[in-house]
Amino acid sequence: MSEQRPDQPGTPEQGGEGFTTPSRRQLLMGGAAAASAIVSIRPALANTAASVLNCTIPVPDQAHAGQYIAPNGQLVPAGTPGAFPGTGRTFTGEQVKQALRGRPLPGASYDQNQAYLNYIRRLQSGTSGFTCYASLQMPR
Amino acid sequence: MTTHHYRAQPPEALLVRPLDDLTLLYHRPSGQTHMVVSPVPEILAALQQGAADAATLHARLSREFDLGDPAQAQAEIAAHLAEMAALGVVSRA
Amino acid sequence: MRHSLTLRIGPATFRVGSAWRAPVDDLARLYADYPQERDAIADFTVRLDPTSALRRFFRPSIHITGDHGLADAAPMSLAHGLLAAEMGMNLQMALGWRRHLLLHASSVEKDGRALVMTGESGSGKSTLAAQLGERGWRLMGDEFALLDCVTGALHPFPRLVSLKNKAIDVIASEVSESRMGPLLAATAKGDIRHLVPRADAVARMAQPAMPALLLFPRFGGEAAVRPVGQGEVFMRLTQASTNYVALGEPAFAALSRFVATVPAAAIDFPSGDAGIALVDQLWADLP
Repeated sequence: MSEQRPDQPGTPEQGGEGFTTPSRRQLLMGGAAAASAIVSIRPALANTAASVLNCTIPVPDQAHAGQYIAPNGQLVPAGTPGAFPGTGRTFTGEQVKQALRGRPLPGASYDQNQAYLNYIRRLQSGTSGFTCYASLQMPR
Repeated sequence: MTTHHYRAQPPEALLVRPLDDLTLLYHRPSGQTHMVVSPVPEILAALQQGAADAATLHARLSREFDLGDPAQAQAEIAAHLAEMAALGVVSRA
Repeated sequence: MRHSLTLRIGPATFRVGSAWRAPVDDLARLYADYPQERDAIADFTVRLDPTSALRRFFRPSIHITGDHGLADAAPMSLAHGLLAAEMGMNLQMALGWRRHLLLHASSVEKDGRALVMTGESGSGKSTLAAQLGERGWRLMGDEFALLDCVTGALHPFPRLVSLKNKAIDVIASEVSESRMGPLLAATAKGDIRHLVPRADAVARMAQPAMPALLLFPRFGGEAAVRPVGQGEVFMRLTQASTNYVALGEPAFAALSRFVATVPAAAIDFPSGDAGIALVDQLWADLP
């Protein structure tokens, strides 16, 4: 099983002949001890009343409840796509264009990775897929 | 104190798909999909060299990465391994 | 069932039966240009049943059911029978379709490539798809996008477009009245009118297209574009899928390939025209 990492691990320093000392990438250098690094996709729950309660119906105008910060610093409602408030990551129009063309955005530290995963975790509502859809579509 | 040893799953059991900001895992035996960030992909790769406990994995990873304070790093690796084993993504050896 | 018809939409065939004539008449009129093969084998049956023997005639009340049903679905009035039939078809697809990965998204096609738009109710994905469909794009669907797990292509599923509240007037002003369904006032989701897709969208409903751009639209707000990370896209699409987990490995392969190859952005727009302009700009910027 081979895998490529998105960031390049330890690029050798340039200059000089012969042996170069690779500067090693940091791993596990975050502040919080052993935060979970895994988010599992949860299956749809059975069609019970409890699963309906777990499915939140988003209210678009809930402007002041738990806001996220979009990359450009704008305050947006929680759950807004693309609103991960990565520390210091403000994207220019050009960077947005590049991102859409497949070039990765500027790399992230261990803490930023953890924060991103927590953001992803929060996006997951109580159910995955069907039950939430059905409860939104069918009046009760 | 008992130390747990862990082994990688057989290669056909786990599909690994790196994305630009995290890595996807598909665990065939359970049919589960997991979204993971460092150090999980690195631990999976380091386990390819053979079954190991947290201390051995710490040594393997230290060759490539700067892990900071060794005691804390080992404890974190042990915690990550326990979580991965609970999900079946690695096996207890 | 007293009254029924058989409809083919994209790859799926539905047999819709009803205790009352009106909903079936509405479907027959609005889906008149769709293949209606009387003896075709149906993938699904939808049934509009009376909630009780009395309610067949007195204050008629519909219980939506079929091959797949939800035990606690609320009854609907006969006045909203067309909506009940559409919801019944949605339910069959959401619960029972296994031939594609099902995403709750709208999609339109241009030059053989598909734009996919996903988001919650009210995000504007249906209205935007309808508007693009009137501006040179081919509407592939407004409710479900069907992703082929083997080829990675999107298959059309062009049902009647469900327009809500303010969107009704916006679209009605642009299309001929013959393409608009009856006004269904005061449903659980407000006022609804259905739009019949254009003739070419119906005629080409067997023609797939490769997805080229994914957007998360958000109607109402200053115009803005944000890239969305691949991890976030993957999570949101599993949430928007009704059968990701059930399909297993083929779905994982298809969705991870989709996420890795299709650029994604979140767009905010204050008006339909602004949304269309953002779409045109992002589409033009694609490699």
